Amino acid sequence: MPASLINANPIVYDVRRKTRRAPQTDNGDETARDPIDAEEVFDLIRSISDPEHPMTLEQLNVLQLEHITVDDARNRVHVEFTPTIPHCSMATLIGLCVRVRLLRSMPDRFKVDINVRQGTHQSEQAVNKQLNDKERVAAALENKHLLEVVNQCLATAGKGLE
Amino acid sequence: MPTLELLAELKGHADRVWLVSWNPKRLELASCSGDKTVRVWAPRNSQPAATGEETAPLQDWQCVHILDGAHERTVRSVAYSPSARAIATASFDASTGIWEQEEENGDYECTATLEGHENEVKSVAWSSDGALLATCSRDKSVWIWEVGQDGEDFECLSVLQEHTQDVKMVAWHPKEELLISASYDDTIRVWREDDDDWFCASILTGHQSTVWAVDFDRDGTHIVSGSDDKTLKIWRREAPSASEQSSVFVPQRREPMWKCVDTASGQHERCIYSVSWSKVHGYIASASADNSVRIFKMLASTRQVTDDPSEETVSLDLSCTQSDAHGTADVNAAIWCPLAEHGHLLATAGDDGIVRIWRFVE
Repeated sequence: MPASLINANPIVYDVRRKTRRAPQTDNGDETARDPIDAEEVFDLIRSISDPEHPMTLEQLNVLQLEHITVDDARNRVHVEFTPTIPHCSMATLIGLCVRVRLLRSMPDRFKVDINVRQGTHQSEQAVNKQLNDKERVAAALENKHLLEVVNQCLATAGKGLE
Repeated sequence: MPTLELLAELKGHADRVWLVSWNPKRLELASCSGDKTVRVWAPRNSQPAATGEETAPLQDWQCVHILDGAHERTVRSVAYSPSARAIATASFDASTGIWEQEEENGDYECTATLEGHENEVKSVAWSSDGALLATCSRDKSVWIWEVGQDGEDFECLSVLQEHTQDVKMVAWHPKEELLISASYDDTIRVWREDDDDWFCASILTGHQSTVWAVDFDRDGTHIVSGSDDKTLKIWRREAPSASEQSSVFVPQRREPMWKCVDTASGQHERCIYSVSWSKVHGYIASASADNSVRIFKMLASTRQVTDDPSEETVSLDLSCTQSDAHGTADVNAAIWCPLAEHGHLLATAGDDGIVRIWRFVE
């Protein structure tokens, strides 16, 4: 653990889910497009690790199912995340982790917008602008050090669902 | 209704294609990609047309050269020099490459590497006579380079550091030594030289987000810009008038003003990455993250009550929309062919790693 944490005592939330969906029945039509909903998107990103705490973004309430919108017909995904504190310097990195996870695991057809939830970060606009500039994202992912940090946070993504 | 007719699909890049540049002398184009290479494409069996007839079938293109090995990261921008003797490449590896064809085998070789930017170089552009080169970067600066006689000596003439955020694109005036730059700081800046001193002559404000692309019309009296705010804007050059001097930004030197004369909103649904204003027929092409390519015509009308040219009103009129130009992928570029005889050819580049050639049918 680093000597000084940005947020030393974050609130940890209970993540046991109250409802579980019944698995969708496959009717054998292989040409049918597999529709995606908010719950599936949430499942892809909820277990991403926080960059500074050994907890998931769901446990820290950074990601919540209610803050994900999916328009499957129009191929749009919108994810809002809530930094644990308004001056969190990790906000951009957290958003980048979510973006990379969805880049790697969602079908190509989706356009993904990622934003800090309104009013939850003091540099909200700057963080949002950077996260949604694909040239900045592409350049960031060519930075080996940064990519390593992102991959570390993503190592836990998708775990615990089986 | 005008339409875009798909002629050819150029496949070979292993990652997204960011931009294309047409050879200004013959039917050929270069594309640059996240796969760190540039590919040069030409119609198969293309021969100089002796009869004036179209000899090369425009449906059949092939990759004739691959420019690789010089850049360690994404090649973000590519530009043929006006003489077509050299190709310039701008890379996220912070360098700009100059490539020339070897005499023996015609292969491209990187003959010069321009260094100086602190990080990603995003755009490179040659001045209309090929004497100057401009580059811009995430380091917020625009550099002006003088091209040496042999085409290999590049001397930095000026480093312009007035943008407050990264600079996305640079473009030269079609006739004058006048440069414009588009930035993440939501502005466009106009740069000019006076007595060996390059300075910012105007700041064009109005876009609500990053300006990704800019281009001039044939005469250089108008600029079109495309932005993350999903709008296109037309800016017109006007002589500074005495009455306006108190109300608008006026630089110390008396400079022509660039005034926004039209904004096309409600067309693209997502960020606009590219604009191209044909010097052949005057149509404007735009490319967007909404997967579409749109073609516009600038309509101008003068009110009869006055002869004042500033009373001329212009509007962007949508001629044609090509939805899903690269399937579900973002379209990063849509660039008109500069050759008079092929002015209706449009090349597009997508996140799907493909370059497509279209014919605009009026």
